[in-house]
Amino acid sequence: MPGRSAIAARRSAKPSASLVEGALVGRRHLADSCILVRDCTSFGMPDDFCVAARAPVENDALIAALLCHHTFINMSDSESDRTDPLAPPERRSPTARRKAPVPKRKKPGPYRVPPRSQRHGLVIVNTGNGKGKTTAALGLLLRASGRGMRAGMFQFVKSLTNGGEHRAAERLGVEIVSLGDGCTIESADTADASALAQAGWARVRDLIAAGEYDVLILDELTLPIKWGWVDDAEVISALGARPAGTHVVITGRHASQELIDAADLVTDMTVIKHPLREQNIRAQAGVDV
Amino acid sequence: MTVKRNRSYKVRPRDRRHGLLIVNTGNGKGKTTAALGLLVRAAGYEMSVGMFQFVKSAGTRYGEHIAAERLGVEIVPLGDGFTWLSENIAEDRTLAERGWARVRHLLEDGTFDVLILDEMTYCLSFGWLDESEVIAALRSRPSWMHVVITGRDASPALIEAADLVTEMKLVRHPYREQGIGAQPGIEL
Repeated sequence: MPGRSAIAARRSAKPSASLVEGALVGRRHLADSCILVRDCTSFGMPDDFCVAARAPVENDALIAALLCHHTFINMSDSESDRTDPLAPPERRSPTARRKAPVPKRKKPGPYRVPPRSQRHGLVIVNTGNGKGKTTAALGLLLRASGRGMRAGMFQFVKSLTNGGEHRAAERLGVEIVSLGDGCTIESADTADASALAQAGWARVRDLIAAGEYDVLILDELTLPIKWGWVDDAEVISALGARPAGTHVVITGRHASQELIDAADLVTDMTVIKHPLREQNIRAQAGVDV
Repeated sequence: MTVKRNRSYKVRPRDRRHGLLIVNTGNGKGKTTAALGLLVRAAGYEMSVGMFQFVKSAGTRYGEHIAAERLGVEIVPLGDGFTWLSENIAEDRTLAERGWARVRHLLEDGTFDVLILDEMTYCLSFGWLDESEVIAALRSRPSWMHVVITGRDASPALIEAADLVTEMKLVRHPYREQGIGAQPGIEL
């Protein structure tokens, strides 16, 4: 039964390659029968998955069928001593006691940005060796500006001031400020670069405290921290003391563990393929800068 | 005293460009968001950019739609909301096929310098579109056209065909750790 293999693959600790392949086939078979299987990792529940039929009446039938096979779903509250790999995990799933969700037909309406006091200000860290750290921060800048929020990007290390993002930001009315001189720790004379980074940090620290920005992006701040130009503990305490409802995004490789612990949302961008590495294609305007 | 280096980049003419096939995949956040960042960059250089969203429903209007309009870029939703909320799978498949027909035409005619196909991997992983046909169409696009495809579970064949692949990995998530849901200006 294809459905069985799909569920088995999610539940067993180390699914074998053939089991995973079976699950993928099973997922497609289920999709043909109008049943969708999707994992819930982006909702922060990597051990859970969602099985959904279309119409509410079909969903009810699916739930009833799964209840008959209670190998799959444990609805009782008693501790389970099951050793079957198909059994649910020991940790109680957050959905276990909840009623089955009824799909809502949501009418898209205009989203309102709540007042600061009702916002959850997030500290977001985009790190890793892959591409997309600054780029994703630019996407956030675009979203925030579309919502009429005050957003600004402050670029440590980088010295470019007329890249594509700078030109577009001017048209959007958001600020992208370059604070660096392009020098890195490998540069011959780092004294100036380190002073620039410290001055840049002092400026940004005051902006965070002033609370005028809804979204502040500190691009490549992880590098001056790593090189010891800016103090990690000072950054974390400034973040902790920021006015409620302020979102701060920090990008760059080698984010320290302390910074990751202080953040609410951390994504690691991993290189799978890179045009420079595989094909020696260099940075191009419009894509990389 | 170091001199502030201020390089200026120019968009190369089409015949000297390497059109890249870029795939943003993985379970973490930032796949669509990074594609939006590329949209900002390319729009800044006055390149023509099109973004087509396969899964977002036609009435969707998020922060990015509003801001992109100001940059003169249209973000077109093609889908019918999140797939698992839709009540008719045949309808979803039809929508995906119709969306693909439109996109395939754009891949051939070269209107856009940068074409972003948001959440298209789902159409492939749900089997709504024929993968080999999609990859053949991507391979035969003009040599200067950059194409960005986002979504989880990018298939090995798509990764094989791509020039730049980044996997966004989830390290910490405000919903998982703190139960904080999506907020306007950040997630939408």
